[in-house]
Amino acid sequence: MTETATAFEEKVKEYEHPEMLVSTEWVAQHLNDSAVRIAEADEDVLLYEVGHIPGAVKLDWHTELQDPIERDFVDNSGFEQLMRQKGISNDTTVVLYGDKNNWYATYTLWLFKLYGHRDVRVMDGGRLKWEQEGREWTREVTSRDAGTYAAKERDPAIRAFRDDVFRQLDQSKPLIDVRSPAEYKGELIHMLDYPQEGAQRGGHIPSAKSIPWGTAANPQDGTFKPAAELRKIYAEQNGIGSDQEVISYCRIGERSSHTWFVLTYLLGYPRVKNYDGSWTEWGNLVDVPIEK
Amino acid sequence: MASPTVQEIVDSFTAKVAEHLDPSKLDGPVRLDPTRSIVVIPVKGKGPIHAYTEHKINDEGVQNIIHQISVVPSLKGLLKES
Repeated sequence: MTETATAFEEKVKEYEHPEMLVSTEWVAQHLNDSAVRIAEADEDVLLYEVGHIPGAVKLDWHTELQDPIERDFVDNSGFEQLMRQKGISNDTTVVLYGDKNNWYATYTLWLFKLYGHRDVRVMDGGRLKWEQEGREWTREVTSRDAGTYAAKERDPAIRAFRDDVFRQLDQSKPLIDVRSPAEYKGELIHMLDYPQEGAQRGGHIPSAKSIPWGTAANPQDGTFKPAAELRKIYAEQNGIGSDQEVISYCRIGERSSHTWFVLTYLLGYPRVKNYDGSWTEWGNLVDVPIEK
Repeated sequence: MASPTVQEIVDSFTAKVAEHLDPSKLDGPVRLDPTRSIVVIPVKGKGPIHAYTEHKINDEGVQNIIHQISVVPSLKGLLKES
């Protein structure tokens, strides 16, 4: 355990914002810290109920974080209400974790940053690493005192809309398509073994580089790769440097949040936006260019 | 009694949906997608059809699925006679 914690400390020192990640050991030591709220966000919404980190609250992408009518996230007041329900206040340190390399955990972190939450972090490795280390799971849902929360206005610096993508194309600035190669090539419109629906057309936005999101994670334990490996993937192999304005996209913006997190916080790129309209918007738009 | 695993919850849900369907009209098992939003039903001659769980992986969700199928004329006959 000590060796693992030491390896984590050595790794995060090389990131531009090491404070954005915490280890499983750190979480285990802060389970009863009233200033910290652990929150689980998964792709598989059944997971929390069958076992979660003691004291953790659930954030459900289907029923809690999206607007129930419009294709958008909960609005400012909805986010405030949700935070209060979860016992999260503006000064709470929120630590997110989840399944599949923290895919939806980083999506949730992006939403927290969209509403200006000051201190929100990710537990490196998520559910997989916690499980591998034999740490405790519980089915007990802990009730929390309501928080006091005032969300800020949405931060336009981290979210791209389709007009931003058009500008990106006009100005020959980089786009990163983080979906699977088969989706990028237009052979699929969703991941393999997922229902193939949501877009009328397959392919990718012209000029977008294909850098699947999962290349930034270690498949063995779901942790983020070291900074040197990440720089190699994005800068050396794909020519996308920190001096550039970057937009990442996927199908609905969740996988691309992972890449947004990597570029923004682990590599310190200052101008990265997540296009959450992503392929379900672009692949349905009339009269827009598509490449295969 | 031990609480069910995710796989047991999924298997129970899809089995309850399948109980309402005519097995001779299917060419594979009923599946639940990884986000647990969509039930995929492989209908012979039509390919997979999708029904939405409305985020209810329980008996109410099963009834929602059956209702969705019942209102589609082209799927007449997929449901067992009650």
